[in-house]
Amino acid sequence: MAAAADSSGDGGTSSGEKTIVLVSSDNSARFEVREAAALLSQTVRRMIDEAGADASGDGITLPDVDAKTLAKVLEYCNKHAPASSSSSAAEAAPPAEGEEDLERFDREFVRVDMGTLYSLVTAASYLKIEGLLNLTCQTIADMIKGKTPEQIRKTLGITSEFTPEEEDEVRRENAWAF
Amino acid sequence: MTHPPAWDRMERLRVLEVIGAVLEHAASNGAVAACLDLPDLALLGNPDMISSLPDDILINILSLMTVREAAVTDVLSTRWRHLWESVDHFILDMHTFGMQVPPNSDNHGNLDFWNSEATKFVGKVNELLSHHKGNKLKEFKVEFPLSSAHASELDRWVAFAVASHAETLTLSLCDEHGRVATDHTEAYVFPLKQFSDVGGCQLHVLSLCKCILETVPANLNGFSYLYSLSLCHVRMVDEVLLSIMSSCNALHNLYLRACHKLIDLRASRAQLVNLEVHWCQRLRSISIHAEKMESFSYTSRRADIEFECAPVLCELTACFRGMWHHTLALLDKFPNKLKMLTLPCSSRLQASRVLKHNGRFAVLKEITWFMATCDHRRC
Repeated sequence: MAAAADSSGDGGTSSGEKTIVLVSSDNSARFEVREAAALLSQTVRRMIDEAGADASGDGITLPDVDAKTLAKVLEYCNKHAPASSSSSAAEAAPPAEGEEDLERFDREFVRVDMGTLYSLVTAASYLKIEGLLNLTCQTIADMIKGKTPEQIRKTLGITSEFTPEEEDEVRRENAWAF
Repeated sequence: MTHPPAWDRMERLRVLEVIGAVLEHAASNGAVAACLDLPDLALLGNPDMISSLPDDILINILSLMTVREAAVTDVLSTRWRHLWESVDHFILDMHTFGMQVPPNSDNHGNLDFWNSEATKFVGKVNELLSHHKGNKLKEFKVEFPLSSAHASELDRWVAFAVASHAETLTLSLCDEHGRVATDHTEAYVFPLKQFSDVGGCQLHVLSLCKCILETVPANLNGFSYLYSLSLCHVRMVDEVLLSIMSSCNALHNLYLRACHKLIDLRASRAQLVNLEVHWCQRLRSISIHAEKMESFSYTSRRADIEFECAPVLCELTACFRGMWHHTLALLDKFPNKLKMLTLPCSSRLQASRVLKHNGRFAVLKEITWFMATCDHRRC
């Protein structure tokens, strides 16, 4: 099922701005987004460069990102995209939204279950979207830091294969940290 | 409590299983009440997905917390074992090791205490370093009152930082309150020779506090990418600083504070943009020859400042400790139109005297007045 979803409020094509079509891995969803939003991904940027001037409206297929995750990632990109769409200014120009607004958005954005968080980190890494990778990694870091191993295991669902003796040994090795 | 996100059937079943198990366990142990930590419940019942992230992402995550918090993950499971040893920064101070300093303690009165604390600290750092894989480090920082008594250890830590291609190196041999190792022990001599004839050194930022710099070796190529140099309470003579600076082709920021052996400073660097000189008590003159310098900040009693070549210098901060005629003289000498000026504010009379010097203020965008409480004792 093809779905064109442009979630940027001001409408991608109404201002005549260039848009890019991104396609999920299973080919089930196509997303038309502003160029400035798509170019937040260094991977997409590289793919466009490699495709050259004759890149057709077929869109760019992202083999490692499924539809659900791609939709979520683009929600982030649309929010964080710079106001200007000229590709050279895309990195230097500030995003169209205010900083406080973005912070609030980011906080809400990562209130998701572990499965989604996992997919977002992996997608951000593959797509090389620095802001999203930092945000998701920081979210996971916040679940780990300052906690005891027992608390961390519970939060992340980790099962330890250490025997009690092995665990004692590891704790001894890192005695300075406990 | 945050509203839990939509769960699929499997997740809900799993959570109910867990709640059931917890309540059973609590009941069998005679518990009268069981308290379930609900926010964590939202995350329960999910298979351990985070552990299946690739190494580099997990290391990235571990690099976002203190090295101590990261080391705790060593014991989580075999997957997490040794990952923390590749974190990209080491910030080593009292807090890293949970050491507490009694607020009223003072180095002079409590020699034994400080010596034993120093030995403890050094031991823990060595233990920590023995674990680290030593690959690319972004930052290596030590903040603890140490002196030449621990010179061989400090030399090894510097060597570790160089070998790990650290981008930022900070050796702050005083604690956060500015306390130093007892005054009677010699300060540590920073091993400049470790930056001589060294390949692949990516050092961008170097900050030293409470050290000695002497004997500059030939070919200090380890400093060729140095972007920021900050020297606070560093004992070095003019020639040593000049020699070091001549090896810093990329130097952008130079910050000098309480370097009391400096007498004449020559700031002559093609890429230098920001220069700050504070409280160098014996400093007699500063000559500036820097085509790209934009800002100059100065605090002291007096000095003769020559702007030999500073065509784009437009920001000035000057605190002459109440000697307003020095401030006015400096404003007279200033070669260009000022864009930003920061001065201590003592009285309206003095402020108006300065503003009358409007020849330099044609393009002045910002003038900042601050309370003149220049504390020269702090690092």
